[in-house]
Amino acid sequence: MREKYVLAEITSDLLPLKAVKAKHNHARLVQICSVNTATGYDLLYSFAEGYNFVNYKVAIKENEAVPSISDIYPSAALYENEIRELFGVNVQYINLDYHEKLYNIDKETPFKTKPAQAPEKPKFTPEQIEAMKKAAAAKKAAAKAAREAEGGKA
Amino acid sequence: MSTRTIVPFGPQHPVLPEPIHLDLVLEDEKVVDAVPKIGYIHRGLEKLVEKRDFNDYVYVIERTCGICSFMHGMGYVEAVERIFDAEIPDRAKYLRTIWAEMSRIHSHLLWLGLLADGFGFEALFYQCWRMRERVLDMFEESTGGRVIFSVNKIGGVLKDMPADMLARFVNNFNEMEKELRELTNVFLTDFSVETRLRGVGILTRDEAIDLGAAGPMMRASDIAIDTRKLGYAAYEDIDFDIITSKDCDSYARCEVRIGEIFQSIDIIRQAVSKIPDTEISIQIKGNPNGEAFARMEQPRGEAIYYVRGNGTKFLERARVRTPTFTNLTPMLKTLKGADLADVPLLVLTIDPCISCTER
Repeated sequence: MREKYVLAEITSDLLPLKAVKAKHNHARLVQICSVNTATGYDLLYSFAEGYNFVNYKVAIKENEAVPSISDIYPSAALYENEIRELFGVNVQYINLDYHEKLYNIDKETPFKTKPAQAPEKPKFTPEQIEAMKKAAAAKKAAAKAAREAEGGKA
Repeated sequence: MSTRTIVPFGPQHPVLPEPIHLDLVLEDEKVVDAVPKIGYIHRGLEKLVEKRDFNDYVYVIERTCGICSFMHGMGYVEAVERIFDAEIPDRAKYLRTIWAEMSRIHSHLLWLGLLADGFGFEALFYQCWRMRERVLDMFEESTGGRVIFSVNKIGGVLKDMPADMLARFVNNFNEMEKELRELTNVFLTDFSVETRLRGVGILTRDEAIDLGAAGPMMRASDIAIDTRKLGYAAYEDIDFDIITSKDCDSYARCEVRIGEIFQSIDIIRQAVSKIPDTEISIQIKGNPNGEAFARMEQPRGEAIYYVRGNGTKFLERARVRTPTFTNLTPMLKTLKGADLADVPLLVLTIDPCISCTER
């Protein structure tokens, strides 16, 4: 048997409607996942209707609010708490809200990709490096001359 | 109204090999609410995909968990193969099926042992783990590893099993089957075991759907859904029935898992008798560009893998929806109204794998 696979792109305001429809079709909510994009997040909601696999992709901007579907599917609450805590997605009206206390992680959450840091300022300027090289060469030459002079005496 | 007390359960607890914390709200001896806290072993494995080549990431994702490590690797490579639209050789599909079913047997035996330990039946625990050891020996012989196998690659598998080894394995399983019948009979008929499991932790069919139960937890609530029926790997050619139970309690979950051990042995026999003699891998060139889902039936239930590539050797996202994560909500439901003394057993009946949950 091959599954029927659907991936539809929808807007966030249509999400509760799609969830109600899925519930009406006796579908199971199997996962919610978040993907970081350049402008915000792609949220993927997956429902299994028997063996068929129906997915909705909701593209949202960085701070855009998304309604929770936990009143329709109670199992959504855990996923929504997860994406809010670890990704920083602004999910509103979760019926079982753990207030960013589901994960016990030492590092600061949500995890954000750090902005590219400016390269470190070099310790010495090229002129200083050149001068240091010259000084080292002169020191080496002086040491060699001293060794030769000592050898001559011996 | 009686006084409410909050009792912390975990992260360190005798029945939990891995850390999870539950705040149990009690009224006398009854649990009225349970608040979970996870993340003690969050390793950021999904995030690591941004820094590892998509071929090397197979080794990372296998380390999500030490029990279903083979299936994690298999789910990820199947998802990437779907992006490439690659058809892998038939022998590789069969080998994956055999190893996947061996994983299921050893995982279920591990769980049965932990369950026996949970209700204080030490001798039964040792017997289950003694049987499991034989499966691990077969893994060691065929893959070289006992916990992490690293035999999956994108485009097939890395190691082959010769015909004589396969025949020997089938013999081993035939011998084990007789012993297992005797052993599992204790779980199903012993009076003291039944008193601990019968009627405890009821999860009805509707609750199982609403709360997102997966795998044996769902099938024990009389829902006949098994992701293997989708026909990934070689399951298309394998004949098997979905094992369900109508009881919806902890005994039903135990019964379903025991049934699945014997079913897995039968699937291995079928796969060995049908395995074709072809190559074991194909070469896949280029970098993945696009997105794909793959669904697998792990020992603990349905696992979902999502992969998104951008045409470079580093993937944008790899996500694993593990069965224990989705089984947490039904577990919290079964805890409500339970006696405090039954809590360890109810936590065990979902077969929790916290490493999987936290990734």
